[in-house]
Amino acid sequence: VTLRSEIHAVIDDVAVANPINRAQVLAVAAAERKAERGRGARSSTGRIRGFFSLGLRRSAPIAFALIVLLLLGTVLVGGRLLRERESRGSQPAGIDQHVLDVLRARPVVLPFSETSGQCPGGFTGTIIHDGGTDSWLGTGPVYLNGGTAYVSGVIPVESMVTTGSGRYFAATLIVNPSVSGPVLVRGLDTISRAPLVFAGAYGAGASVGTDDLAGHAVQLFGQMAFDASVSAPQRVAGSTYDPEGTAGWGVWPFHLGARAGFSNCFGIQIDGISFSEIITGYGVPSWAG
Amino acid sequence: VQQVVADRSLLADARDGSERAFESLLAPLIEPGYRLACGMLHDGHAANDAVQEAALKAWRKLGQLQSAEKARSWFLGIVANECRNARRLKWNTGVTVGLPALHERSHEERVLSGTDIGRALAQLKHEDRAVVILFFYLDLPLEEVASVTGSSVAAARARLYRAIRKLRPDLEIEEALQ
Repeated sequence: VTLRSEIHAVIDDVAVANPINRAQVLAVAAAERKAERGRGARSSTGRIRGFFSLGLRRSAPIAFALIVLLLLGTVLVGGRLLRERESRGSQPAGIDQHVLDVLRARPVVLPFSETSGQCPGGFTGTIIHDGGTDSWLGTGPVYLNGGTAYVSGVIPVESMVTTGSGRYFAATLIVNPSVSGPVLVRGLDTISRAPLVFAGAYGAGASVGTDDLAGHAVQLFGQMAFDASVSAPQRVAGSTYDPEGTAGWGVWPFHLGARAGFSNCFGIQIDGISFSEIITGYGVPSWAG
Repeated sequence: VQQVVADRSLLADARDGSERAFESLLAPLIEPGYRLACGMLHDGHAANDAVQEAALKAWRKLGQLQSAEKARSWFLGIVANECRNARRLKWNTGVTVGLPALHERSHEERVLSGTDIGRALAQLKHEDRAVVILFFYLDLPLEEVASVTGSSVAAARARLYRAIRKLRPDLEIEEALQ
């Protein structure tokens, strides 16, 4: 037995047992390249402008007819698009919708339990930020932190609010600086399977109503989405829980809402271009936790 | 010679935006990249993620690739960097919110602790472990190991010898290199 063969044996245990899907890696990378190219193409309008100016010089009547047709098309199609937009709900500005749709197509694979008493998923913490606890929930590259530790308020509501419709937890997603592109968040009560709702600037998907959070009228959405490539509202300056002393993590605030009858067990699935992460937990009022 | 010319043409086409050329360039590197990541992270899922991220970054950094002949060491270098990032993310696995933070061993640490060589590998510094895996597992010559790690051949050799002494203090270097 040589050192070389020992090293081969210990790594083969992982590499050979779980072979990589080369085609999938290439396909995902190709999708990302396409998305990036799309973003680039939208910002370069020079060639388009050049094409139209050339056409107008050569054939004004045809150009005029095209404009008329375009106007008609706008009237006819615009109404339908508006109706579709209303049915699809909020589409956050600046997010690549193609990539977001790809993320939405991924199935939600949260763990469930038919019986209350123990939340599926193995975590038993509370998402309430209660008196300075700075633990982050998750396995990365996105972590969930309860409360308003880093947030001065998209919605200026502290910790938790209970209304006639449900319960809302102030929360933050803390995102590793290496993450780029659209990030989609969906959530469910992992006992009742009732969908969770998201309030705040990053609500996405279908609007599912409104509520009053301590005097602040908010719109509720079935999803949350943001683009990690753009600057986060806030960044972590550093954390005593981070042995690497990493700073610069993006902080994205929101309110996670659960309907009345919430089992206290929640799960959220966070999908990005190159990762999919599940965070489960136990959300209870701070006085009960 | 024909192969070299074809590779250069492939790189030129990839830089010009050819999807097919880029994938032809990258496809044979996925497997060695994954094997490196498995050695670095000892977690198939994490290794997969690291290679996936590296594949995206490879496209963005295509301009930095000097020649097609250096594609393997270039891509493995990107994978190694992704593995370093992935290890940084592992520190907080399993911590529950609302409770005092507990230090839990990462998955890779738990798996590796099952064997002596695995434990010893896990305790190596990132750069040392990379050199060991590139040399012993991917069977790269020291010149290419140096290229991947961005160091001189002498530095890569010194790093390899130091790592061998940590992995197998009882072995002579010559014996370990067999």
